[in-house]
Amino acid sequence: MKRTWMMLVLAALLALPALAAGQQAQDRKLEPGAAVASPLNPAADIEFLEGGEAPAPTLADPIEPFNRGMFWVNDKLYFYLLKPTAQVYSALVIKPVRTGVNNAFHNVRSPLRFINCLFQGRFTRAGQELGSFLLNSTFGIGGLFRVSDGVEGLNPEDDEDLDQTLGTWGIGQGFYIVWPVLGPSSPRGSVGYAGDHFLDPLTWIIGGWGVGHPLVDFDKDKDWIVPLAVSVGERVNNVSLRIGDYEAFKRDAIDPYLAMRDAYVQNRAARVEK
Amino acid sequence: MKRIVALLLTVAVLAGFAAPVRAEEPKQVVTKAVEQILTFLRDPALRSAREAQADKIKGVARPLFDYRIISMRTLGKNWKELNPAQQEEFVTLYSRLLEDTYTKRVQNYQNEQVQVGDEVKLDDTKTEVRTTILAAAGPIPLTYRLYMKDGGWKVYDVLAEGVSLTNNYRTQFDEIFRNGGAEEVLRNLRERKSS
Repeated sequence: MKRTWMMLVLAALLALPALAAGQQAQDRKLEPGAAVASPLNPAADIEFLEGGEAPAPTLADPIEPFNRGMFWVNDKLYFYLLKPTAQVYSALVIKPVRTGVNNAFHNVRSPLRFINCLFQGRFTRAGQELGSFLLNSTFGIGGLFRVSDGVEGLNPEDDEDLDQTLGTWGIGQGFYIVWPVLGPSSPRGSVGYAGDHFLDPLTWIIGGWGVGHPLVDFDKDKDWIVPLAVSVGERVNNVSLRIGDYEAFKRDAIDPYLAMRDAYVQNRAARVEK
Repeated sequence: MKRIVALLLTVAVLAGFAAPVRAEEPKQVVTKAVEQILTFLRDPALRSAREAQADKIKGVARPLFDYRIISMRTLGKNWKELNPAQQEEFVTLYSRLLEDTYTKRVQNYQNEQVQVGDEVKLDDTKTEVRTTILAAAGPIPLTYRLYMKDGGWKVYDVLAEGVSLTNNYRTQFDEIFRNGGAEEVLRNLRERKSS
């Protein structure tokens, strides 16, 4: 008899977690419209239904008329200059080469991302950046291939820049600016862009190219020609790999200007937050 | 001894009845959908039949997305300003817009690799699954946010490079709402449909 009781107690103990789980599942099935607080029933959580639990970051746009004008200019620049150039270019150069060039540009800027990681105190990410750089520079043949993408722990991460660093330090963006050619930015973004230019290894590598060269014979005051040509080349190469993206973005938007501004603000905020 | 066996059996049966059907983990849900969609994208027969391919992709995406919740969250506080008929119309038109947007973007596929990464719990009933598309111009992070609904997981937002689709459309609709109210929002969507 004693044994039977013991068995029953044991049985009850064993069945308990399962029963509890069943009860929990029933708790989740709440009447529709029942106003119950957040964690148990999102479908009755007003804040969740209004999208208020993850509010979108905002950025003031006091110079909207100017910005809309620049947006228009950039739109035309894309369709009448950048896109046709990129199309001709992609007809001449096969995709693997264009991808390789894009990867190499990304790789040569790795020290820039590394420094910004350090500035932000993100040491793990800095280590990953260094690891990717070493791997892609060697096995990836000078960064032509992104070998690191396939390596666990060196997972593809997005860019790190000075604008993010300044944001991490608690400096606000200011307001929204659309620069011609360069696109969406802010006062903080503009400072970051300029600073990144000086931290960019490429700036130092190609800085003096062409000056005093016996064949092209650039004067010292024409030392901007090569860097400009390189950045135009980089842009055209990059755009050639993304033809259709901007078109799709515009087609899907209700108001492309607002969609772009919001995307810029959200993207920046997400990067600073990480 | 027999009694023990009988008891154990009873316990097993009881436990079996009481235990709820275990819902699939969010990461599994996303992985399965991604893999299915990739199969359609790589299928040579479907590659030459865009319409059929789009239908197949929609077939996978439709049960995964909770368009009503997405619609409500997109309009936010303005949702209440719509009467029930307008709400229904909005859900219909907006889900069509999102479905077309998603399908067309996905159909741009050029053999990129897709990595399904970590799942990050947001709270007891909300979670996000991070994926990365290794595009030629660089990796694109794409995050799916899901919530627990009737024992299953449904997508309520998608974030591309940190940009929430819901928030992005809300910014745009807010402006139209401020200027022309609910009717203007609907007119805008109706016109897109015909174009």
